[in-house]
Amino acid sequence: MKCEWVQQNIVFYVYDELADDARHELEQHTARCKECAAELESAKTFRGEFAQFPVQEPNPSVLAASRMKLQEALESAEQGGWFHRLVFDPVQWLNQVRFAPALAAAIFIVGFAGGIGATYKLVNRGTSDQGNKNGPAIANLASIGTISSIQQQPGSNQVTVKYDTLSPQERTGSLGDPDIQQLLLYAARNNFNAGVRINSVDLLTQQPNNPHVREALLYALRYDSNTGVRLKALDAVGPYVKNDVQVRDAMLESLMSDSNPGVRVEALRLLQPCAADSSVRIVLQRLAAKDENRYIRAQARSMVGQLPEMN
Amino acid sequence: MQKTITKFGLLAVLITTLCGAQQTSIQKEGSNWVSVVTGSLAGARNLHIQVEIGTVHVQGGSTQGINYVIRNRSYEGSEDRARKQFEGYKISANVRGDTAFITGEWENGSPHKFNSEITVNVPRDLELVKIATDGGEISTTGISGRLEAESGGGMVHLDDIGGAISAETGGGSIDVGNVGSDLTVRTGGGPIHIGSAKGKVVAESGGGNLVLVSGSAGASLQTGGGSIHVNKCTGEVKAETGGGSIDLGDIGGSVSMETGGGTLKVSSASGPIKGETGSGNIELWGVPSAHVETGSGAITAKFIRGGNGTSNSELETGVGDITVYLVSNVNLTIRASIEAANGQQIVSDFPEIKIASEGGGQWGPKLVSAEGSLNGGGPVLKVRTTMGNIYFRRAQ
Repeated sequence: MKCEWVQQNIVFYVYDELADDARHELEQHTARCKECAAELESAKTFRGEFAQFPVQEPNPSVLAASRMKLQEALESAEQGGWFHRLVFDPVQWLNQVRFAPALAAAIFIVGFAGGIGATYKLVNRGTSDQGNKNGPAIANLASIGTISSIQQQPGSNQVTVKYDTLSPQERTGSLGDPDIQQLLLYAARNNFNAGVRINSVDLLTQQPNNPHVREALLYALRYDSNTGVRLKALDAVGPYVKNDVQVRDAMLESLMSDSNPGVRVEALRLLQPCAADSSVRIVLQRLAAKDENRYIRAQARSMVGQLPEMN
Repeated sequence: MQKTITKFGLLAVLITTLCGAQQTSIQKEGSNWVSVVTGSLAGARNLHIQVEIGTVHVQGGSTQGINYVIRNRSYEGSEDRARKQFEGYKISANVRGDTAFITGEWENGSPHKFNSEITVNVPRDLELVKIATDGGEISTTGISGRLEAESGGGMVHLDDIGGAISAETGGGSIDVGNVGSDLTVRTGGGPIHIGSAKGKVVAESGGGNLVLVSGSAGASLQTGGGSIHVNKCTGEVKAETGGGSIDLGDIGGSVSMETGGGTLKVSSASGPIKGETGSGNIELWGVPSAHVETGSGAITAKFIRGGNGTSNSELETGVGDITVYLVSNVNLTIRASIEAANGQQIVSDFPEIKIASEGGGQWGPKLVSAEGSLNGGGPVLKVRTTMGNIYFRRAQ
């Protein structure tokens, strides 16, 4: 969706004269493009200010004079020659030769041939889009087959994600690009390639304030089969354990049940600032009483010992 | 009888002399009670510290003897209960032969609301320092002798140690600065960071990232999960992780690396590379030979000319492209194949490599293969992918 098209159609949008699909496309674009969003706002303001003025009805005498002039122009218009009638008056010409049934058949044949031609062109264009580096907008995640690589260009926030749909696709954009974010979130949850999952989680850690990103990180912490991915997700959400209950709950789950001792130890370390929280205290008491890991048992005991007693 | 009494008396005086003057004081700090025990020991070449609880700090320096400060902290509110705890934790310090001993043990089981911290200043030229704590951090710096450290759980920090080191903790991170000899460190779970080691490095973690900045005599790095990063190491490097990436910089020897899932990367190596990842990309920049395999992912490898006796190489991936960069003077015999090419192809900058395809019919997958000898041929380089492109490029 190009800015040029949007800016040409902003006025139609503001006056509700755009078709529904075009309207939707324009709204999607202005949600991402600051310049076009500002232009849209300006157009809305312009319309709003003019709406304050009353609508002026045309002067009756001016209206009557205009109608008389139109009538005179129609009456004095000259008819064209045979060539003019053949080209510009086809309905009248067809009536004269009485070709209505044949015309209907001809229209049907032309329409059918046109449909076949358009379909052929659409199919060809679809296969030739393989080499297009910034392909069509990602409309349907279910059409993605595999994400084969995710790479960040050194020294910048440009990310190149290579993924397969029906044919290989590649998208380059900044970390703030919603399409890139969408791909990274998908890769973190759904890719069977652990290396790609690790890279995507690594890049997502740069935007942990985004609620969707945090949700993906917590999912990785809870359910990813690869310990490296879980550790990376744990380190990313660690700073938010004090203020985010969901992060705290996920970390407590990891502390209690992760299969890897390194993940449990790290979760215990990150939970120390909120040891006084009631849910954390309960877990620490349970671990202090009967955890199989000697270090975690001892640490939990020490942390519980330092807590003030609850009445 | 009198002689016996005299002997015991002299022995008591001697022990007291060797123990030094041990002083104890109790004071309130905030809402807690703290007992401070200080003392000194002389005439020892070795130091053994064994405590049931608490942090141990050993600092080497220019001091002549061994001086210690033991701070016991009780989190009980009342002074009476705190004093009972202090009295229940027995601390003894003495010298037997050429070894100084500092021990701390509970008489009737350890309470929860108690902690202890031992700080010991020692001469730098101690031959051996041996530390054991059932639970607590260990920190040792500035000694030229050997170190053996063991903690039931807690962080370990070591720096400026001349002799061989063996350190183990049940859980917690291990942080090593500069050490002058062999280094063996283990943690049940937690990251390990090693600055510079002049001897062979063995580092193991149940789970956590491993980092080695500089090694001089090879390294064996193993973690149950997490990434492994080596900046520079002379000698053979072995790296294994249950899941996570392995990133090796300049390696002056052979490399063996394995990960359950994650990328493998080697910047340069003077010896052969062996690598395996369940899934993930593999990047090898500047290696004489390599046997690497990934279940799924791209492989990028730059081969340089090896010495006599350079072995064959094999690059294999289930799904993904393989890109091989070859320097102009490398002598190799190339054998490449795409098992089920469906539009994928082999592309080569080298006219010596001949590409052919067979099978497939009009619609089915084809077998695309390539063979050729560069600079008269040499060790065999096998490149194989089931589905993906293969590129042979001239290295810059």
